[in-house]
Amino acid sequence: MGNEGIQPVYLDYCATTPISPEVRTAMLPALEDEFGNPSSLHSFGRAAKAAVENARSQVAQRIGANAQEIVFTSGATEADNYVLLGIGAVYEQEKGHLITSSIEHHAVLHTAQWLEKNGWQVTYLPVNTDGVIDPQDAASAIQDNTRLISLMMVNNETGTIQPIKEVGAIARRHGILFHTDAVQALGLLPVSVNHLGVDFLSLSAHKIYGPKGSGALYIREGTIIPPMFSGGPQEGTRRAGTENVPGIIGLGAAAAVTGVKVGNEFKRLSGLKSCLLNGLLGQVPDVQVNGPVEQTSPHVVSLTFPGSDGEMMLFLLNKYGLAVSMGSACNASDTLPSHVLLAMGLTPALADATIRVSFGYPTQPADIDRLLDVLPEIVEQCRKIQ
Amino acid sequence: MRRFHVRVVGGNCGNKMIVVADHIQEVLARCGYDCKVSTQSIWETMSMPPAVDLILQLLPAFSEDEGECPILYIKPLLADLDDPKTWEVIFTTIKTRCEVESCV
Repeated sequence: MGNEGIQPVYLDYCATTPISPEVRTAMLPALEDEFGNPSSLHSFGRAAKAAVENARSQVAQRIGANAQEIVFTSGATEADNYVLLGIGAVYEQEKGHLITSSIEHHAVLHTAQWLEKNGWQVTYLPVNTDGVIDPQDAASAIQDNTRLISLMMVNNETGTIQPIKEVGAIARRHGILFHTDAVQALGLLPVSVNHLGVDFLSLSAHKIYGPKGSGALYIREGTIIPPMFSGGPQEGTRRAGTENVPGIIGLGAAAAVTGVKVGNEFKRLSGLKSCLLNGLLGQVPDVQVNGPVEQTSPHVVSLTFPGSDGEMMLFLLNKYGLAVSMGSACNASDTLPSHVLLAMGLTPALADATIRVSFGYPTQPADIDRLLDVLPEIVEQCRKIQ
Repeated sequence: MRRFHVRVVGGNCGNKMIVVADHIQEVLARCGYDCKVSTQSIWETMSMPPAVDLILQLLPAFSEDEGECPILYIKPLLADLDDPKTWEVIFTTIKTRCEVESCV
């Protein structure tokens, strides 16, 4: 990709992570000899069923849930859709009110918009300039017909950690179901469904060193939500279809690995983040860090370089073998500045001058040095061209 | 007399690049230039386009020392398709180039 011969440095762990050796080892039997269908009664089937149930226990243990409260999905987008559309189906006749935030992933936002088009009321909570919602805003938004609150735990663009526990307490007090998308949290933060007070929690394997196409939804026992697919009795009749056995095993193993590493990696990546920020602030004039360090996950840094251009920086960094991402998203028809950054009060021009650097377990100090070696010059070049 | 080949090079937002390229084609045709305007996303093809007479970049993908034709930066056209300064440079370059090569 235009940087042949250069050792690449991956700094886009919010987008996806590589499969860890432990996960790969755990998955291999299911990709080779242990290929049974978990619904089969013979020994091949029973072995596959046992592997799936072991993974279910691993995921449950990681988030302090019971195994029967875990439903495997194709990823967090499906889990998010299941919650919102499932609650939408429960109240199909009378409709209702949903509370979410303006900085959610599109898996939630677009589904909320769909509900809105189909007769629901939706409140999109604002965030402050640090990208954090105010739990009091959630409390104030509650109506008699509020059916669900859905808020992400860690924002995927800025890393801001949301006050999920506080909102969970509010939701519980009002008897409202509460969902969190914890995709970006699970690799580095302690996650306990009871501590957070959530009724639903979405997870994705590929964000925590597991395979793509695998995720899970925690559903608190006793919560009424109809099946997402009809067909066979898999996943306690909630999700029909033969299970993605290797993917599920991978998710279970990944959950177990993160459970062991979470504390040390939080500390280590916090150190790397400080190195990056200190280095940049010393070398590049006029840098804006989106989200306060003390309230963001250590694996994400959102940086705005006024007068520059995100895609230009991305392109030039890629030439040096450095893979980061933009703070703004594009779709096929237009350049759309990041809805997250706009919600935080950035102008479209500033949102477009933003990049996201994200770290992972494999990230080393030398990787940060490589970035610091070239980024100041690239920012200067981009500002000059702009 | 061969057609003058302009390559518009852009990034991720393909439709905007196409809008810019279409506009360039239209304006050049209106001014009597027999040009072929094509597009290239640098995220799909990162190599220098071969056999073109002028590269118009929406991103600083290539530098002139990499190729044999003039390279202009035209990002202002994203905000204003008729940005006068950008068009002045494009016309000057095409005129110079065409005089040298007698291609129009």
